[in-house]
Formats: sequence, structure tokens, C-alpha cells
Amino acid sequence: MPPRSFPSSAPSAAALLVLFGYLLHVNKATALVCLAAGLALISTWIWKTPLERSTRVLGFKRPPARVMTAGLALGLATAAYARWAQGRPLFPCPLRAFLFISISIGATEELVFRGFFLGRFLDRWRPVAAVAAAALAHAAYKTAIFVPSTALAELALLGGLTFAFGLLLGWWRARNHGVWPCVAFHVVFDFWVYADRTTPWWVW
Amino acid sequence: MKLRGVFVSCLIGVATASLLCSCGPGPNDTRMVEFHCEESLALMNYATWEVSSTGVNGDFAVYLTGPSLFYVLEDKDDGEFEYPYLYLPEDGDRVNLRVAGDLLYANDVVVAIAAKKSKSRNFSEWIESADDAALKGVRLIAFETSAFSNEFEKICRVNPHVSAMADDPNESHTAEQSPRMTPFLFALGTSEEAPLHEAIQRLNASEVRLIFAGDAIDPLAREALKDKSMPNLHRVILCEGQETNEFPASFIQASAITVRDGAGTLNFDQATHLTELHYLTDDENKTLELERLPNPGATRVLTILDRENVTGLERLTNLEYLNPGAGSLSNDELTKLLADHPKLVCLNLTRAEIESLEPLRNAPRLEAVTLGAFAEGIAPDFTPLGALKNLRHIGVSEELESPENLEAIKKACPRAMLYAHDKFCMGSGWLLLFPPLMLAIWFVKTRREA
Repeated sequence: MPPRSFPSSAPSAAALLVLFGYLLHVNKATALVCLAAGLALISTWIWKTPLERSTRVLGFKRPPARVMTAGLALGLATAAYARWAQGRPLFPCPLRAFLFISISIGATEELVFRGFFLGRFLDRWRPVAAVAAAALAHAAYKTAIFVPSTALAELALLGGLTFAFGLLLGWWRARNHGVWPCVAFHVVFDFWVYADRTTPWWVW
Repeated sequence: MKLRGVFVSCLIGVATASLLCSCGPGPNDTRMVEFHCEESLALMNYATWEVSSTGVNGDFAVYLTGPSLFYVLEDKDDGEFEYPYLYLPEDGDRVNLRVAGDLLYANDVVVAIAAKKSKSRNFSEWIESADDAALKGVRLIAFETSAFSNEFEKICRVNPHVSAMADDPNESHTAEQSPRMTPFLFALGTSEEAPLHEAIQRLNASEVRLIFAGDAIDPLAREALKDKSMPNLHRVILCEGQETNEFPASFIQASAITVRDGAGTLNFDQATHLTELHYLTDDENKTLELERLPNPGATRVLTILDRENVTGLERLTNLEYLNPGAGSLSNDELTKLLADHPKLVCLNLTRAEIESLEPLRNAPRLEAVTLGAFAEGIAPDFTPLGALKNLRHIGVSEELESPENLEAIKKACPRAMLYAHDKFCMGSGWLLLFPPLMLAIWFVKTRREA
């Protein structure tokens, strides 16, 4: 028997993560409280949900090879464009230790936003609304992190791109392809963009 | 279920309240500005001549009033590179700096270019591809060669406020472009051979906000400057060998003046608007007579190198920022200093050797403190910092950067940002807690069910 549902747990956790992002460089203690509360809500749901269902909600399923390949290719193409737009060489060189952190963060963001949040939203809402809500939550989280030190135009661009890619990745997930193509996209993108960078201020 | 709802509501309420509290009043001209650097950079403040070195993930804060000139120093394999950075108040209280080739980015906007002889490919390519909006964002170009006059002209066409600096005045593009320029910053030449006075005469100086005067300036240039009206001039940086009482009134009437090395004796009689003074000369034969200031109550920022050569410090009762310079500072002296300047919000003790932090308990308004060394043989006690409820920024110089000291400071004042060379896990990387947490829950659940 499925556990009692917590209708507000996923939106509340998403809101807390957005607050966490904003408060990181404003009020660190409160930011960590928000993160702890958000993770506590997610953990509670995972704890109370049977393993089989929680892995399904998180999107842990074998994806079609073509979708996985598309995720990898799109991640690579997007990263190449990002490097070109930033005036950096196409190939990252030399590689730095931060690449391990960057790909871990990319994978984790996908597990949280396209995995947990989108999975929970898909359980209760129509796919279009669920995909849009998860993309919006991800874009808000990313934008909130940069609010203290980024110009408005840049924030709008960051939020818009994150939302747009969130819609695409969410669509893959909603078509029952699981979370792994999204993870592949984000990992390849972060690897190619950040492999030659030292740790940015907004990570540590 | 109810308890859980109450708990979540309380958390969201607290977070929302914090968010609202953080949205204080709008920006003003006097502020602590935090710098974040993605790479290992050092930032030299031209007003105070202090270098803020960063670690790999270094952040630091600087007390600023209005436009300020910095050099961003990048230590590369093929030598050290310098990028001039002109801070403007619209950059806000947090600035993220990064460099890419010849370009310096502040908050992801190209604000400065270092056009080097050997390393200018990025500059030319960027100029070719940049649109007008991007070109308008450029504030300052440092030239090492005159090979880029076409590129500079392209920027000047859309951005007459752009400023230029050159080590060699013969390379100074400011002189060539001056008829159409109204730069924010005007860097005076360093050689008598340069036809500087002609450039000054042609210069539309109405928008000049900052003057950087290098070495000796020839008499013709001085004469040309006398007739220049610079109504917006905010900051003047005077260096080496200048008798400042010979400068035009517009210099002395600037609101922020830096005097460095042997820059002569300041004639304060006309310094009616002086809100910020950085007196960075320790010549024993020169005394800084602050009692001669016609309006001492106006001065809010003061840096001195040596208190022995300063008189009338107690008359500056409205100081908000003070760097009292080098030398030992006993508890009694520090107590008197704080009593004389009850409005201090930022105290920079980088060069001072203090006996203890106890006197700071009497300065509840302090928002920022930079700590230097303690007197020899005294074990630092940081607990008095905990009594400062408004303290938000703590800078630590290298003398105090042991892990034990940093830990003790964080423990004494956990709410303040600590600027040192250690690494803080405080960014979005915290989200990495999610995967191990999820795995741990599944592991425990599986074991229990088994």
C-alpha cells in the first residue's frame, strides 16, 4: 500500500532549495537551515516510500540507447557553444581537479530536479504542468545562486536557458525515458565547460 | 502530520524573513564591497596601496566610497599580468572577477582590457565581434603598445567614457583620442617628453571622476590643468615627487585624495570637501596636520601609515573607516581611538600590533574589522568579537591565518563573513549531500526490511 501522500512536500522542498540558493551569500546559517529542511522533506518521502516506487519516481530506469546518445551529443554541443561564446578554446586543457566536483554537481542537480521533483510532480499533475514546474524550480534555484553578484540581463539569460533546457530534459523524462539521459546531458556539459577551471566562488 | 506542517511553515517563515531583512536600503556611496575571484588573483587597491591576495577560492571585502581604481594581478606561468579595474558604485556590493586572456570580466561583463604586446589576440577578436552594448561596458584599457589604435578608436566611437592607461606616455592613446573622449579616469603621463598639455587642453574633462597622477608632471601640463573644470572629479591619486599645493584647485577639492610616497605636503586650506584621505607616506620630516582641515567633520575615511607623524586625528569625529597604520597599539590607545571616533563601522588593524581585542567591546557599531598581528608573546583571544552584534566582515592577515585562529574566530563570531585563505564549503556544492543521503536511506531501509 502506498504511503500517505504529502501533497506539499515537493513544492515546499523546491521552494526551500531556491531560498537556500539565494541566501548562500546573504545569510549562510539560514541558507543551510533551508537546505537541511529541503533535504529532510525529500528524505522523509524516500524513507516512507517503498524502494520500488521511490526508484520509479526518481526515474531510475534503463533508457533507450538513442535517447542516451542524444543526451550526450546535446550536452557536448551545448558545452562547445558555451565555450565559444565565452571566447575560450574548444577543448578544455589542462584538466583540473574541479572537473570531478562539477560533474557531481551536474548529476546531483538532475537527480534532484528531473529525478525527485519532476517524478513527484508527474505523479499528481499533467505532464506539461509537471515538466514546466520542475524546469521553473531548477531555473529559480540556479538564478537565485547568482543573484548577489550578477547583472540582471545575465540573470535573465541564465534563468531563461536553464528553464528552456529544463523543458527539453523534462520532456525526455516525461516520455518515460528515465532520468539518466538528463544526467548524461548535464555531466557532459559540466565536464566540457568546467574541466579546465578552478573552483568557482559559487560552488565552495 | 500537523507538527510537520508547523515545522515547515516556521522554516519558510524564518527564511522569508531573512530574505526580506537582507533587502536593505538602496546602494549608497560608502560600502563594504565583497570581491569573489574564480581564479587565483590578487587585487591591489590604488587608493590604499594594499594588496588583497586570494587563495584558490579567495573572497575578500574592501571598504569603498565611489569610483575606485584597482589592479587585478594574475600570476601566470609566463609572468604576472595586470588588469586595471575601475570600480563604479553601480557594480554593487558583490563583484565577481575573472580574467580570460586580455579581458577582465566583472560580474560577467568585460570591463577592462590589457592590450599586451605578446598577448593581444583575445582583445582584437573580442573587439571585432563585440556589439555596441558590450563596448559600452568597457571602462578601461591598459596599453603596452600602440598597435591597437584602430580597435581603440572603435570603442571610443560608441563609448566616449572609456579610459586608457599606458606605462609609456608615448603610447598613450588618450592623447590621440582626447578630442572625442570624456573618460571616467584620466591618467596623467609620466614623462616630460610627452605632449601631455596638448592632450589636456583638448580633453573634454567634464566626466572625469578619477585622476591618477603618476610621476612628475611637467609645468605645461600643470598649466593646462588649471583651466580645466572637472565638476564630477571624485578621487585623486597623487604619487611620487609632486608638491600638491601646486595642483589646481579641482584636485584639492576632490572628495577623495590619496597621497603616496614623497608627494609633498598637502595644502589642506582648500580641501573643503574632503571625505576620504589616504596618506601613505611615512617621511619622518613631514607631519600630517589634520587640524588644518577646514571641515574635519566631513571626513569619513582615513588611512595613515604612521601615527607618529599625524596630529589632530581626534578632530575627525565622524570617521566611519580608519586604518591607524603601523606600530603597537596598547589597550589604552585603542580604547581612546575608539572613543574619539564613535561612528566607526570599519576598523583596519592590518598594520597595527594590538594587545587585545577587549577595547572593541566599546564599539558596537563596527561592521567590519581587519585583524593584523597581536603584540609579541600575547595569545590571541577572539571572544570580544562575539559581542559586536553588527559585525559582518572579518578580514585576517597572514600573521593570524593558522587553522586554530580561524576556527576560534568563526566560533566567536559565526555570523560574520571571514576573509582568509582557507577554503569554505559554503556554496551550491552543499547539494552534493543529496546522493549519499539517498543511498544511506535506501541502505538502512533495505537492511531493516531484510
